[in-house]
Amino acid sequence: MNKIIIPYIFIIPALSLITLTIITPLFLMIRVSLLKPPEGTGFYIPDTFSLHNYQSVFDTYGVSILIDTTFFALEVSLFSILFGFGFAILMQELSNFLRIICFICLLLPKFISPLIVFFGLQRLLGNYGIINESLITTHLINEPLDLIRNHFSALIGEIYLTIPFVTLFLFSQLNSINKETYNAAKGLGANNYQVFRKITLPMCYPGIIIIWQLSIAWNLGSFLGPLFLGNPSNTTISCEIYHQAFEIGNWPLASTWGVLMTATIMMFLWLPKLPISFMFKDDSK
Amino acid sequence: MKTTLIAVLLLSTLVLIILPIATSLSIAFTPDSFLTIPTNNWTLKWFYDFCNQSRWTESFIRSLIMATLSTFLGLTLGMPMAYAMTRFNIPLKKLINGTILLPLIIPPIILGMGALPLFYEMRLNGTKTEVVLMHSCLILPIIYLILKNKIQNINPEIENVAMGLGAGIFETLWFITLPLLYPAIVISGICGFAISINETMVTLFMAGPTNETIATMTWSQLKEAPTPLIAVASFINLITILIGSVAIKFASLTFSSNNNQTKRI
Repeated sequence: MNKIIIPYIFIIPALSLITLTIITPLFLMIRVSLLKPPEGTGFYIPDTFSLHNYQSVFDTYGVSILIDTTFFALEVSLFSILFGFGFAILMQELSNFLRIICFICLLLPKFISPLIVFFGLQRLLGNYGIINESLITTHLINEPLDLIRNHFSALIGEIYLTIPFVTLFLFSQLNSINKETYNAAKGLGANNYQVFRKITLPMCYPGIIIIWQLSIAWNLGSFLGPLFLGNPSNTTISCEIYHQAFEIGNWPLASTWGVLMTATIMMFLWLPKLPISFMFKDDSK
Repeated sequence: MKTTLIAVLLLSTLVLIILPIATSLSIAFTPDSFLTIPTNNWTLKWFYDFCNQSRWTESFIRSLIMATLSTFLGLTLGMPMAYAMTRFNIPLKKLINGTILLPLIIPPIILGMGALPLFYEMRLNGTKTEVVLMHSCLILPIIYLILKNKIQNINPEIENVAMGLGAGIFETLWFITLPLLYPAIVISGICGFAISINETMVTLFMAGPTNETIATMTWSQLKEAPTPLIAVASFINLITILIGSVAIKFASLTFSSNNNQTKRI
């Protein structure tokens, strides 16, 4: 009897916290998104169920923001995985001391507020930032370059936030490969490229897919980069939610955007599983 | 040749990663009232300014209190959860696992926006309780992942021996599993504390004007008119986390040495 109850005693407090702070709000968000916005104070007018909010999202610029955000997330995740994978491979070749320094450099940004990273990037890339000033003082250019407030700088900001996680994850993935495999391949006459193509990449493939999914999910909610480093045409769903909820106070429309974003994230978490499941089916044959 | 190439590549990447943070932190020592990077004379002027403005110091103390409380709540809920999920047979294990990891996947802006009407109806809005609840929920998956990984590496036979010698399950957990888990608990606690003290988006929705933390103060300054005080605040945050983690590390060293003695006896 005792043995049956104990596991539930252990998991129920944590599950009830998650239910209170995430699952109930998510369902409430779906409900709020079907209601009408109030004229005065409050969050919504009760008992006015309609699809009015979804209609207004899809009638106006909603679809283009959805597509833009998705492409933005895809770009960020692609670049972070490219750089992060390269960095993880380089870290493999290092001595222990240098590796610890690398870990510290990667983890340090995570112990500081992301706002400070963007503050620093604004100082670096701005019209009177270090890069422009040094280029002007060396007379390479006469007028400051437009490095900030464009798509490129928003991309860089989000990559800065994503890359530490990607690198650490792929490093652990690479570390789990048996080193003897490389020696065996090289002994059989493979060159460095062939070893990478035939051994490293296939063995890291499941890990790359997982971190790809995760970084897309994180960057579909990218907010600080487009807000502080992008221009108004780089609006993402999160910026729109912030705008609707904080600045206009249209809570139902913000909830509609929230439901759409959660749906997109869930879709991207489910889609990349398909190639993996096909792969394992082939293996079982 | 190859090693120098790797070293150069690596060094440039590290410099690129550290550069924005180094720039913004160095602004804390600027002698001017603009956001210039100090070149030759570094001052602590802005640190005095920070200590003299009660709005900043109060928000700093508030965020320390809330981060500590939410770390404790996250640890007390996450530890048993991680243990139960590795050692016991629970129905719907995959679903529960996914549910626990939800805060990692769903963007904080949605969490904050969704939870605000709920807490409003529970008459909790604007209190410290809701911030602590939301922060501990954000910390929970990190603590869960770190501790679960550690528990999987502990040999279950040790616990079985203790239980076979007549100890109950809670005695076994207290005397066997907890001391073995101690380093992982410390690490996950530090990570949770750092996440909670730096969390901006959820806090922005939850805290409101009455419960400003360092993160929301930084946010409002950065949106309107940034001053070097932002850099000072984040510098002090970083120092707090580093000193705290070193202190806890030493405390855990003494704890584990005491424990070894009891084992020998």
